[in-house]
Amino acid sequence: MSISRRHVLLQGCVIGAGVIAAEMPGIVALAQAPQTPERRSLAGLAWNDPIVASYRDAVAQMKQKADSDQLSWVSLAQVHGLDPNTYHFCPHGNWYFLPWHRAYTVMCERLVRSLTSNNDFAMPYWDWTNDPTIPDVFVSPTTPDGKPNALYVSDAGFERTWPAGTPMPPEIVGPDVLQSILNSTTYEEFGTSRPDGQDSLDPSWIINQDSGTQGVLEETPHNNVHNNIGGWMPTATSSRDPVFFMHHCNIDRIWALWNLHNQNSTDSLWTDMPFTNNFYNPDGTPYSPKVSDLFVPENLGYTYGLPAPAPASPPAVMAMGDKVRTLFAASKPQGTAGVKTFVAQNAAQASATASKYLEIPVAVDATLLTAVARRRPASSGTELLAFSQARERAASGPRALAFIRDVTVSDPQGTMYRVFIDCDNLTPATPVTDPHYVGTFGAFEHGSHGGKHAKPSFVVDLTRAIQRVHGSSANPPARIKVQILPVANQPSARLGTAAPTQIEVAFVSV
Amino acid sequence: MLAALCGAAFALSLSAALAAEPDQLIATTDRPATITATRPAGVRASPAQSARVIIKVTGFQPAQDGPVQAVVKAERNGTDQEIGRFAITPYTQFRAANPDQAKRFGLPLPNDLASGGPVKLNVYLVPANGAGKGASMEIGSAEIR
Repeated sequence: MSISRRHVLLQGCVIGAGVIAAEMPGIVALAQAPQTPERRSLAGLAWNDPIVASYRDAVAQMKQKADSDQLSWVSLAQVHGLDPNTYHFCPHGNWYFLPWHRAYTVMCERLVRSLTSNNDFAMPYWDWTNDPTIPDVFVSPTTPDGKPNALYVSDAGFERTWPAGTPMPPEIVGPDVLQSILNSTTYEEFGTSRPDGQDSLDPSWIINQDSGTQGVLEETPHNNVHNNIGGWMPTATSSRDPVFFMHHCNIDRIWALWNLHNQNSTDSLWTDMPFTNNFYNPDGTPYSPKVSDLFVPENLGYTYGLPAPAPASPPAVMAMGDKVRTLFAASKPQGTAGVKTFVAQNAAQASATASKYLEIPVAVDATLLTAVARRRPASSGTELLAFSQARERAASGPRALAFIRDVTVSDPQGTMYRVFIDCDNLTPATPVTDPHYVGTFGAFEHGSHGGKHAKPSFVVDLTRAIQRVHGSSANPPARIKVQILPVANQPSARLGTAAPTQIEVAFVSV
Repeated sequence: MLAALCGAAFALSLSAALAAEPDQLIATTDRPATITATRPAGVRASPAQSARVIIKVTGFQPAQDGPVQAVVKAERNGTDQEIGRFAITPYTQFRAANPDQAKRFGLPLPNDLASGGPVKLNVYLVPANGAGKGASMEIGSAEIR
């Protein structure tokens, strides 16, 4: 019988309950049990967050070691490929692709823990569906404190070529692609199929490259992100680029998401295949898992925090809902615990126009902004989690909302009003995939009811944009610049304007 | 019964029409490869699994100035419908010495296309960054599974 992640979680619950029931000191023991480190999205991790700092520090240490040292960065990369044109142990284009790269990422994760003595370290993932630009921590040659950034690639001839700040196209990493991946119902469709003609557990089948049929996960986001980044990434020694492990960590997370509703192959040609002497532990001893050893992340020393479905509405979600509702009930809620509102007037009654967007700075409490910027982001795969769990994660963390009040609009029929925050180079050509983009509202002017015609107000959720824009900042600012940009909804449309009376930014937390 | 016969006749005529058009198996950034995907003889659609197109790539030449990807579109009633994208890694030149060495890529086939007969595919090479100069891809075959 294979052990699934669900079994592990259930066993953990039963064991915990038994300890509590047996004797009270057990509670102390339970409380002291080490937590499995959780792999988190890079979004919301500051450049000096201990997770990012540990990875950067470990990579720096490994880069300083002689190439011949087993713990050097070059040696680690040579597990994957011997040189840019020659693969070593890594499989691609067959059904060992996912488990092998899971083990490889685990190996790197353990090396980082060992080199930095940070046993809480868990490899962060680059969630390119939600955050399609190369994460900030990789793009500068120095860190904000002026030190060399080991996560930057400066190797001559292998510099990254994808422009920083340019998002990966949604056609390769967007929600539709992710949905297509997660819609696969069999492992070989999802995670690439077996090598043609495989009839044994001979290890030569592992490196029988491209002998299976690649699924969308490998052929679309995996391959294209490798190729697009450029430099080392499109080569056999792609793991010379430190972004490699964050990219593969996200691939691994998608496997874990898919496993929430789908079973791995049970074919022994897959489950029993060992990766003998492909990997090594921090002490230099071989790490040779077989495929079925790699099914449960928690057994490997990390978790994605994907708990079993909760049976009832989580109280935290209900509490958050109550607080958010107060914001809609009154324009300036007073005295509600966990709700804080900041207001900025549009004193000059300035309008957002086609030639000049409207920008209204709102002074806020930097502590509250930081809490939003650093909250744990919702997974892009939440639609496949049990609804209550996904809702709890998405809805119970601190949020920021912007109320755009009493807006005077002109020509609204042909106009969409895009909202951005803190975008210093905003133009009509700025795409909605830009990290500063918040959302779009439209005004539906269709007469009045009962002789009253109040000006419309709009609300947009700033949470995700704040995470993208300020998540990696060491000191998020004490203001948010809310920007409104009218764009035509079709080429022939007459472009309208918008002038709110004020903007309120509300922070809500449970 | 009559409807079934009409359907079979239509499928046969479509198959004949598609087969009459020669496949263009080399894709460049200027011109797509065109190939007709058919279900291999003896292979029936699996009710437990959605249909896929399996494309075999037998040769690839990367662009000199940046990555290219393959965009696969199924042609229906004279219009292209994108069914997926794939890329070659490592991003380097290769040629399959024999059909067994082809790289294979599976793409989900929408139900409305899977339920009919052969499907004409256009495989475009599209630069992701750069102009895609010098890139080419050779398609060996395409099957519906």
